[in-house]
Amino acid sequence: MPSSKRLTGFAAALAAALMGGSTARAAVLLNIDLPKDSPVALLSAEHGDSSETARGGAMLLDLHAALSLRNSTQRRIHGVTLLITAQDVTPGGRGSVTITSLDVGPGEAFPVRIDLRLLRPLQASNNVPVQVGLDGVLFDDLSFYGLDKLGSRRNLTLSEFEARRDRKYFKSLLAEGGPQRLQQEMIESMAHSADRPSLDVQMVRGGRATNFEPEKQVQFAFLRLPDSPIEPMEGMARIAGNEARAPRLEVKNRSDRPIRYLELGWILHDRGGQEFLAGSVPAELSLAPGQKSPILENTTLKFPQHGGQPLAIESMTGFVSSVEFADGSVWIPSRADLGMPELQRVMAPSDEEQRLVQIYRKKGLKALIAELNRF
Amino acid sequence: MKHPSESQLALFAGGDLAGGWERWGVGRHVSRCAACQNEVSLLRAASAEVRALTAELPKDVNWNRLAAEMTGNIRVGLAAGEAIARFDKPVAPHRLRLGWNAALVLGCATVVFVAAFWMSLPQPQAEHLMTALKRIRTERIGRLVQRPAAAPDDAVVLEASASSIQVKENGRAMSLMNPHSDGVTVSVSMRGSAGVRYVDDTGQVTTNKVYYAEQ
Amino acid sequence: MTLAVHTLEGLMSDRGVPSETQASVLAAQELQNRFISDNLRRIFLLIYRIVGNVADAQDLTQEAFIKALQRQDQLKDVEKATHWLSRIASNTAIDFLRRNGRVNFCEIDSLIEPLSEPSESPEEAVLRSEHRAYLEEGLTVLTERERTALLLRDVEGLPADEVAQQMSCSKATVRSHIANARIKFRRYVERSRRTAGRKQS
Repeated sequence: MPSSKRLTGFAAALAAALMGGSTARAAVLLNIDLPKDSPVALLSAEHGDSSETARGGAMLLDLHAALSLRNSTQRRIHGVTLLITAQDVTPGGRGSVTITSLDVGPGEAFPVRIDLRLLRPLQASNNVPVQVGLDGVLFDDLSFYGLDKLGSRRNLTLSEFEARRDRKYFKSLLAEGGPQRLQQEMIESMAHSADRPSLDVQMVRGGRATNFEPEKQVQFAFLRLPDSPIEPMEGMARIAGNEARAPRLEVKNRSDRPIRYLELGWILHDRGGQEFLAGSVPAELSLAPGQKSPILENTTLKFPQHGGQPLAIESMTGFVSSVEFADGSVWIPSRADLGMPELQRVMAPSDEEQRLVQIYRKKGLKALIAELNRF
Repeated sequence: MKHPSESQLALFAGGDLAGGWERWGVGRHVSRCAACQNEVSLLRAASAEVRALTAELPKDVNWNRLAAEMTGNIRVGLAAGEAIARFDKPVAPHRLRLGWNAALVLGCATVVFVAAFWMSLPQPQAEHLMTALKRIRTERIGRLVQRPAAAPDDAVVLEASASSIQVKENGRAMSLMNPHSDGVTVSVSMRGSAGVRYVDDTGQVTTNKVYYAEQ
Repeated sequence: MTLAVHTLEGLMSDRGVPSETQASVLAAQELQNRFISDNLRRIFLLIYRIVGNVADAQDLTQEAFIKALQRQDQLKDVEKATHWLSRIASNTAIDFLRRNGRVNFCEIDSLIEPLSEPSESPEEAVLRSEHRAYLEEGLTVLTERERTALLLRDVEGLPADEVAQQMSCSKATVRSHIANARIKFRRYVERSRRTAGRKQS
């Protein structure tokens, strides 16, 4: 890729640090760095309501920015991922902002919001550079541009396939059952979203205990999806109260093509009967047809108490949520698979479904039908 | 009779005159001069007013709420400062004090090693067994006697909630916040990322993610 | 993530009954909490009176406690710790004013400047149940250095040479500040009474 051209968006000046001995003013410097041949160009970058607040021995720096990007190619853009880094604050951490279910034509513009907060010691007086770069752009023909440091090619591609699947599904409902059927599906989608439990999650390093609950090893139960190229064989994780640690699974490639990546969804069941999708267990591997492989993760997921009774995890269910073959093609569960009650209770709708439901909510059924007919 | 200056009386009223001689002189005068006595009384009364006034809270301040906020921020600041101190200063290696059962385990391990030798176990395997035994058992013993493990929050590297997602590192953090808290979808990948998806008023779907990379 | 696996089967000591070291950590936290609750209001008020606004006073109060509590061994002697905290608080407030360029603590103000008339008489303030506001206005008559010196000496009870240390001025300068502050405040009270007396008659 050619050398990058630096675009400095703006700098927001912040008030002086208050701690003894440290008097410098710290500025947050937002650098938007797009390559010369980038398929998107920066039209404008505006900031507002940025602020700094001292919180005891730490400083909170808030940055709110609205970017306007333009499609500078002759192809339609369906997804974009921006990479955000703040090396001085979290050298090992990164952020991203991804826009999916896009359909941006040549020369058209679209907005991207960045609402960032940095926490650092009050004594630190140096400026805080925040880098915004382009990790990837997905086009309508599934071609990809970008550094792909965050796996955005895979994520944008999966999102695109889910979008195509769901649009096809809704169009078939419309064709078979008319607008009423489509409307019913929208209402059911909203009801499922409302019923689906939403929990805060923390990830802890190293799979070690952070509570005093007695721990037990729990075996995974698996949802079998008939067309899945991957078969989960067995698995276990350690459960203690509201923590789930270090899942270990074994999977088999039952397709006739080599697989290079898969993701398993992990459903947790609470003692009180609640179920929720805890997270995904991804694996990059090289799995030949018929071959088995273990998947191991040494992290802990913790679900802080969120009002009411603390969570007490009882059991777990796993299912294959996506597969990428060595040739780059992907497999995702079908709408029929997603119709299984166990998945319907916990799975969030795809990006595209959520976008279409929003159109229905804000603009009505006619607008939704018009949108579906565009594709 | 020559009166002390206003400043001398003001300092005398609070016991702040510097030199012993000056203090004696002014004190002697005040004891004999009604006007200066009156002045000293007024000065002391004014100081009492100041003390009473400054014991009262400013108008319109909800003290309970302010106190709770300050207390919370102090605790956050202490925790952040502690994490930063651990990062910035070289950490002395913890000296594990081994209890009697650690000695027993090491003794057993030695026995195993010797037994392995006698039973002609391949040496690397026996050594591996001893190392494994030492690591597991003394790690356990070490946890018993060394300083308490870091507060659980220090090990948290990613957090995801409906309002924001955050990656933490050594008392510092980077968050991406959601302008909407309704209708958001939280997701976590065990590989080290957390994300929140929302649809804004224009119908655009945005997913914010944070990633943690093991150092 | 590739950290070593901690095999926890059969291990029990790091869960269950808290160990002795954990009990002492809890006790230390309790001591810390009590220290904060016992001193928070006093320190906040001291700082507020020096800097003159609630928002800055809040931030500076928090900083003062954090600085003081970062040396936890100080808490073993509560009286010492309280004194230490007061010093840190006033230092923090003074540094703040200095850093923001608002005041040079070592310049001496004149006593001769004409004092402005109070905006209302004590009687009116009492009638409006704002006697305190009237007194507060009296404090604003003082310069920041005079007010700081007065608060540290007459409210906090620090000896004059310690006040000089905190304000990084000579003892003579600080004595001037203290004297001027007492005189000005006393004059303000007297003038206000005279004004009330004139209005009554």
